[in-house]
Amino acid sequence: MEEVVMLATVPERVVIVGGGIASDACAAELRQSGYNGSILMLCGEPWRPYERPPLSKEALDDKGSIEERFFLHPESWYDENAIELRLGVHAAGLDIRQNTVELTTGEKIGFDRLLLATGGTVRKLWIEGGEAPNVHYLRTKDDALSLASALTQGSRIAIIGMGVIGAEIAASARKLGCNVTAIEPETGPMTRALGSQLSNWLAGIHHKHGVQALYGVSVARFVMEDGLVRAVECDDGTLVSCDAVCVGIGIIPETGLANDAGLAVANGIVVDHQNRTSVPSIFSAGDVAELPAFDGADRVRYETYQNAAEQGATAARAMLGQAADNTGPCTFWTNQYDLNIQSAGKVSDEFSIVWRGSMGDDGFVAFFLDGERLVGAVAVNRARDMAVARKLVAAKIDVKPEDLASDVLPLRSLLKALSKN
Amino acid sequence: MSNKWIKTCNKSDVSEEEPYCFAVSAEKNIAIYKLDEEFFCTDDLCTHGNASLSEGFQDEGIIECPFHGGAFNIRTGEPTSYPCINAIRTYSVKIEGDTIMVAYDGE
Repeated sequence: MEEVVMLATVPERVVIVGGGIASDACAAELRQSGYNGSILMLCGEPWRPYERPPLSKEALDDKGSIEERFFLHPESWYDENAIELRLGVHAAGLDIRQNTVELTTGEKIGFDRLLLATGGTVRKLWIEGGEAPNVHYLRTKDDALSLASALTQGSRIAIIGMGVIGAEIAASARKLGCNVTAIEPETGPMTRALGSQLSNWLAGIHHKHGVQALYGVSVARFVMEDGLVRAVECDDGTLVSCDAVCVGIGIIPETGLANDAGLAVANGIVVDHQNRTSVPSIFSAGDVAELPAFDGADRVRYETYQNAAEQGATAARAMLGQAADNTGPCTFWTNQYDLNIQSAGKVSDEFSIVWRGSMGDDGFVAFFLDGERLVGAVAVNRARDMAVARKLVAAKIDVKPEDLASDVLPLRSLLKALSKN
Repeated sequence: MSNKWIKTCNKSDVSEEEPYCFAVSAEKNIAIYKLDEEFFCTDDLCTHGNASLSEGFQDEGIIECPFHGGAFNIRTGEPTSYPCINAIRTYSVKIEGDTIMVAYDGE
């Protein structure tokens, strides 16, 4: 309780550590919510917040298009909203008694409220050659530009990991005419995000587009020559010759600052449903934050755009003492080839699936049911259905499978029935 | 360039639940909305991402982008939700019989 009393009731100085979506959304929401005090955003990279989703898509196959749509906001927006950006700076320490952040330069910056939106760093392959110049990881704009230069027509690209990032890179690389071989220990692409049925379907799509995939195998070692990886040897003995390697095996949340300062940290910085950490003046949002799951049964860390934006906005409102709640379902989208895949809520083999349309169609929706309870949905090329499905999932309702499956019955009628209850 | 009224779709093509996407050129689509028996028109391409607003979720006077959850006021084009911060262009609409006419200057 003592710490709560120490909180300035009306904050005058908000400091945001991190320069991604969660940070940007927090700053935007602070101003939208009427906050007039100072906002200082400490960005580790040398540019203002930008869109990460295009890095595995448009940034690779159409480099020229990226600049205009790359940044979240024009530079003038930050001036107009009195949001001070410090670019290329890194926080080295956090003092939770003095309420200060210390930069690597030694400079100390005081705050009334702090947002830790430090994101994550790519998980690297710790094997010999893992740092070779033709081994690419993808997290930042610089990573994308470096990878793009390797994806030339006819080049042989080995993709390690067919999660969302690996699968998107595979699609982009095929579009650019690369010879793509994917190596994935699971049974198909994006199994964790889609469940096995949809993963099998997506495996077929990648196969149709010419991706050679090795599922159920892992990397044993890199075959090196002149400091470059020339082939990937798999644990079943298969040798994949390559000109470049792309590794997409996840991120490690950047919890160091929080950990050293004594904040509660588990698989991420532990926050409540308002994105507040174990220290009341300090909030955390985005890829680095571990929050109560949508169904309250668990704690989760999401690595998605919408969740980062919503959490940043939630933290902003909570900083100001306004109503704030982040317990919506996890949502994400991915674009591969001519497919737009969107997902909301829980998607797992433990649930039964009701299909609206079928997997062979140009577009379809898979609803995931736990008994009669709708817990998740995946839509392929059905963005409009997905907008409704997201709201249905968020409503935590019981549904009749035949209503979801009927293409005659508009999904919106289910939503309307809901609002009448 | 002065505005030119162009024929788009019929009134019956547009519902409050499904905005109508109309191609004014090979590169450009516009979205036509029905709202309380009135019709409105905006650019179809979201000012934030590469998404078609006519594929989005219309909730009374608000169109929600189908990709990132950003949203715009259909009448004014003003952004109403993050990450959209730039207004979407709107076009004047008039009705001739059953046809929806849009003032489009070719740009």
